[in-house]
Amino acid sequence: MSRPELVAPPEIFYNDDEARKYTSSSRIIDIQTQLTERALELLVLPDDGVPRLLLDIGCGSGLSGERLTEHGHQWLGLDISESMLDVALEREVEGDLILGDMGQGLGIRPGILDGAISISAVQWLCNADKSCHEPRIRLKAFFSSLYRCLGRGARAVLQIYPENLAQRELILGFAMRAGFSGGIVVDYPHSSKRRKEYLVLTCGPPSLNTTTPEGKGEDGESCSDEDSSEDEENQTVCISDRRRPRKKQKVNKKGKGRDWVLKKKEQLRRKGNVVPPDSKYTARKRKDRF
Amino acid sequence: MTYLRTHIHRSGRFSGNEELKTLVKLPLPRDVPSNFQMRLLTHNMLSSNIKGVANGFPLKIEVVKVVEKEVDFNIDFLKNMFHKVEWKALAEASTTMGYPELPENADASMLDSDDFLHKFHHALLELHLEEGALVCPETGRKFPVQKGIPNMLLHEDEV
Repeated sequence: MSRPELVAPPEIFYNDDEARKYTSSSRIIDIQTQLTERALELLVLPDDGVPRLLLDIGCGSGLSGERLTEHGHQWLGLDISESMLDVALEREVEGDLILGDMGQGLGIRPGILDGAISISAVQWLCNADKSCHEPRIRLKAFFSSLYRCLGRGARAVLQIYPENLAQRELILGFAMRAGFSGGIVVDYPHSSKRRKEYLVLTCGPPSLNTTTPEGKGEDGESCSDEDSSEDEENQTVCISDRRRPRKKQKVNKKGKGRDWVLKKKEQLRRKGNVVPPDSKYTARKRKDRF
Repeated sequence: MTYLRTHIHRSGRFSGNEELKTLVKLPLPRDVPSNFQMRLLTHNMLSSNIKGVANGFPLKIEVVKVVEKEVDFNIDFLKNMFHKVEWKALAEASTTMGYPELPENADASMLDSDDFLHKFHHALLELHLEEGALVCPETGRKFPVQKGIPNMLLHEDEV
């Protein structure tokens, strides 16, 4: 189930069984918690202890909402799957739940929210599940209504799994057209598993405090967007290179050496793995008695 | 869930996958309080989203069942919310829900009064609509509220 979007519409895919499975898998809970923590970090709410009113778009069974409660915020959850909301009721989440479709626009009064988060939900909008669905219209309705209901200077952090480059451009394009400023933050762009994308949007024109924060685990110089397009290029090169005979690895008597170890460690670090720091002991030659 | 798990272990029926499924689907024990809630805070934020409706706020409330639940009092949140809440709609809604204590008009100076804050807190966070409906003020379309969840899904022709 790597891409539930391709299986069925959300209100049908997340039926009773799937909702229960989703919420009892410790792996999913773990990932959702991490994503929510990171989204809250990117939301940069002022740290004054005042509970804020947040919207959780695609709240599902309230896994993300629980994190918001733990941070002391009040929240409203919107989801299209009744089964997921039922599980949320069973789990006794603190926020209020609304059964609704984000593609029909959020029916919320203007300017009232202090922020919005969404974990792995917005890419569903790119699918046309019914004959009356037109992804562009739905995206437009969603982003323009989100822009309306957020207060001035409030942020929205939407974690997304776009299927390809075109989908990401589409989502970002409609966000910009609705009047948001901001961009995409990519965490761990070099890792296929830990790579996560966050759409960080701010209401109002670009200014100093609307600059997009840097993603985790990427090189300081390269911008996240360019980075991703480079990735795509690299991939195509890799494919055309495939038929070439592989170079034989050089293994001389001395072994691969310190440079090689340092290079490998750097590669793993970029993927986001936990790698011990380099020291004078790294790749040191062993004594002769070994 | 922990309750169910221990139950499974004790009876020693932790073998088949199917059995597990049926066991997990057992209703929760009775003493768990129900968490069905829709606060007036939520009501104060929702507006009707039907195409062509110019002013979908405030939604009228049709009450079938109201529950009251104690919630922690947080003065900072109330002060933050006071400027965002549509007071008239809140006062009207709380009267419909059977709590006519709120004054008709309110301004920021009243936030110093403890009595007022407690009333505000009670109306905003402690009154819950469990069953009923929200009615669009312009078209009269009903959005049913079941188990405290308002169903704001629109039909195809309303988008």
